[in-house]
Amino acid sequence: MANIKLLYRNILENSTVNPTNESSVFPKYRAYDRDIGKLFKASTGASSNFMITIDQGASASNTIYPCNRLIIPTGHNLSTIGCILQYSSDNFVADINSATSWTATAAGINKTFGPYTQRYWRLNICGSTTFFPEIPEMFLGQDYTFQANPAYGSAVGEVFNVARAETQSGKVRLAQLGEIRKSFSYNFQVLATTQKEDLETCVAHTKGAKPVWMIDDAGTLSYVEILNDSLDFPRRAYGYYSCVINFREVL
Amino acid sequence: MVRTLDANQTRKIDRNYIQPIYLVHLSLSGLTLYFSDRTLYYNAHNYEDYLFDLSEIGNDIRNLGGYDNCQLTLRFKNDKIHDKATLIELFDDYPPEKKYIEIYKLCIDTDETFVADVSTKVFKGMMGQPYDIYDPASEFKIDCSSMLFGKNNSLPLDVIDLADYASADPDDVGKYRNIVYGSVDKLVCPWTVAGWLSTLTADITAAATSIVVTDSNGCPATPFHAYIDSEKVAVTNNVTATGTLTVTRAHDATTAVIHNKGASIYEELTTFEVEVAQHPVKAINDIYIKRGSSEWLRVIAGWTKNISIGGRSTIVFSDKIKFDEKANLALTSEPHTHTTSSYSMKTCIPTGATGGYAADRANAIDGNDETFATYDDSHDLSINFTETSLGTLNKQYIYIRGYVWGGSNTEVWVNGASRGNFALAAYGEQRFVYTGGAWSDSIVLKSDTDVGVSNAYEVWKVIEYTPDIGSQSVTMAGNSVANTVIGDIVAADVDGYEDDVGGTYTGTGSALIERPDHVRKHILIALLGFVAADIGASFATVGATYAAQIVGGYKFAFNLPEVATEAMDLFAKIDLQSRSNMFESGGTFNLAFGSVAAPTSQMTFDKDNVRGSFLFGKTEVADIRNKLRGHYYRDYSKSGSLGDRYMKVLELSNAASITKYGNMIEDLEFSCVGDLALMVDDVMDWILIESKELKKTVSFEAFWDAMILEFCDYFTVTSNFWSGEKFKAIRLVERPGSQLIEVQGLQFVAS
Repeated sequence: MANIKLLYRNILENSTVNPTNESSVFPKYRAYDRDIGKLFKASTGASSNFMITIDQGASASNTIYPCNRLIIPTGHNLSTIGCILQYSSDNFVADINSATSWTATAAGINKTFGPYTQRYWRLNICGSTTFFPEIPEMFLGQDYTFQANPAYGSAVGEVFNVARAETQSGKVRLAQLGEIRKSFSYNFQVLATTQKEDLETCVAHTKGAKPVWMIDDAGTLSYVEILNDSLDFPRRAYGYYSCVINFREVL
Repeated sequence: MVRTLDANQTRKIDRNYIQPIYLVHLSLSGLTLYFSDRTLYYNAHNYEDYLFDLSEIGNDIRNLGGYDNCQLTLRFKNDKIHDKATLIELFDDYPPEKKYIEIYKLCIDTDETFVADVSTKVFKGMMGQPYDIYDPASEFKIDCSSMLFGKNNSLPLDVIDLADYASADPDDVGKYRNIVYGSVDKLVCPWTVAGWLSTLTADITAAATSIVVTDSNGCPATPFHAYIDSEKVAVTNNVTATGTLTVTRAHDATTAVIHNKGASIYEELTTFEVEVAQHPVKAINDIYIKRGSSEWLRVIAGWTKNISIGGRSTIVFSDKIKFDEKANLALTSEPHTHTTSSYSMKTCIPTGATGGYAADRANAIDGNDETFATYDDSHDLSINFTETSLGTLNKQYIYIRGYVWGGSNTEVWVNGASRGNFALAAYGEQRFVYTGGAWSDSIVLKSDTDVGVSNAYEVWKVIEYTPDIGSQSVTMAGNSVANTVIGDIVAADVDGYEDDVGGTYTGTGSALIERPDHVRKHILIALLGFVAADIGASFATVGATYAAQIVGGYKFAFNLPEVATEAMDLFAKIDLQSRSNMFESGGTFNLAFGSVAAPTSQMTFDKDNVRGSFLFGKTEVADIRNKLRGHYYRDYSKSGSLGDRYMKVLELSNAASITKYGNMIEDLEFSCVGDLALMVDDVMDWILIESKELKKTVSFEAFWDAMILEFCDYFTVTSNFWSGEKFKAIRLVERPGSQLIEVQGLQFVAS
């Protein structure tokens, strides 16, 4: 049973992102707006290899973050298409390296590699001139792994979105107004100072507003929001804290 | 007719659970957005999650005409979109106001995929302006209106104005231009080219060169030509302050004559024009003219009818339409008799003498007593008269002034017999009286012996008579001098809008658009800009009812601006006057006819498919009507009360209702109906049935299976009392957040 992981930083958000082309109605930012519902689409006239190039170092002050995971959730149209995630130090002039490659299916894409700390990354989609990629979200970064899993007793469940009503005679009528969403209430009873600081870094980045990817102890990937109004770290002992984090799936 | 759903969707609304998705299409200028409250790829569209929720979707109708707006509010997520940081900024470039929104409902099963579109359109309307726009950007709202409400002020009404019609009659400036449906009688047509017109304030001589008119404002720039009666003059100066014109007389071979006060003076133009309608019409039939409140006179020549010219229809006259205004002095009295009881006397002077002696016979009638005529026994002297009867002759008094030869007698004969004799021995006067005879009777003097001649100095007679005036005729001959006056109101019998050759609106190429469903369709598409797909199949169904309801079918005949100036008001009146309800359902306009036959119930509601309780009530007693007066057949030349504006009236009442509630009277204005009593009677029958008694009402919350109901569908209620009643659906409001449908019904009452 692996420890729980969080992928909260998407390097595309602080990089210069250049796709081969983009639709004006479905522009490139939609690939990194943390909204799975809004697609990025290529425009017509693509070349056979469609590239999404990421440059982390456009400014000298930019931090070059390491990456070890790529997530593209369901909703893409890359099924049967060959894909290569590449990195480079010279913007793919002479230094071209493959982080991972695969032939996509209709399922979500969740690839791990490295980690590599590189300025330039690109997703090379090997389609045809009549293929125009559609990507709901492209999440590239390094996941953070909890040092320990939550204590037993933590609640994992599902939230329904159902309107319930009864007829005059008592017959039940149920209107499912939205999809079921997973919920997680994780109680981390012992967190070392470094992990507390890591979580604070996570919170500083997301500010409680950005959904993040979570890979639970069973390896299941979920796109979640942190429900806590605040993240409190009660001190358990010197250098050790506890924390309860509530997650709920974002659709 | 209930709404028909795809089989896939029918199966899902028949279950006790449902998974609804609302799909929203926003049709902006140059951009269509596909939104939902989730991300969904369906029917080749990416529906994106820009909606928090929809408020209720629904509307009400009014039983006896009326058109209410819908209730729908959308709450948008103000997220980044396209190249804009927020949706509200995109709406700056693509304004949503007055743009169409369509909402579809799709019931799904988990993980279900669709190979074809099975969604149901539940709404089409127009968006209003965004409001409740929060910063930081999170959300905003937009209210939507029904399709017709969105076009409420979009009827293409236009007025006669001087900017477009510089020579329009000032009396017609500001009047609505006609929009005509059906066969309208004596439609008043405004003057679009009338030229300047005024009248003389005083008589003028044939030599006058300075004339004063009632108003010289609006007069063309001098010099210009004008007519006074039939005389053409040149106007060379105009003092508008006093209305004084300087003119030269008798142009173009016309004659300078006197003109009377009040005579018209008008600008010379090559043509004069009235506008029949602001659009082409099917036909312009008889043309009429009148002045003021006089009767219509039919114009028989001098016009050109243009049923389609420059996108409108006109009548062009070669000259002003003139009347000769004069008094006809010819007077003839009927023969009549006057009588009197008094006698009159007439002295009759002889007109000739015969007999006697030719040498002196004339002396008896020459009025000179110094001379005399002679006669003897062989020479009778006859004194003759040529009197014209002045009445009934009573007596003739014979006067002889003369001398009779001694020893003889003179007999005086009148009317063939002796009336006496005399023997004047010396010069003297003798009178005889004879009752009867004739006005022209002669007096004959006969001497009885041959002893010598007698002398007659003067003979005459006086007639006593009863005057007889008898039959008399009085004739005053000779007419007055004519004033030329100008006919100021022109009307025409007009067949209005004509269908196109393809029969888009009526199904028959080039047909007159007059059946109520065809008129509605034409207004919606041609005047308000809707498309054929916005009009439901029920129009044709109800149209067939219109055609068969009375002999010849329902027909409208009206000038639209005279009926209403706003679309919803117009359709409300059209509905009432054709015993129908037009409503929006499922994104289309639909029509229902007010049948009085037992309706088919489309659904039954009972405790197993209703949430909560039935709430019953009754219509208001104040709304009872049991005595109706229907005013119809518009006189377009008149304003004022209903009785003035409409030429005919029909009355209907219900005695039982009057007995029960007393007189509850309403005057109905059939502004869309011409001279068609059958239609007015049929519609009023229905209104009376619908309003003569109180009706039960019911309201309740139903579940999603009731979404098949449309307005004017009937349903049955099974309840603890009043069970089994049929109700007409007059309110249907769907609440997406709960999937409940608010239903309100109005009881069906048989005729």
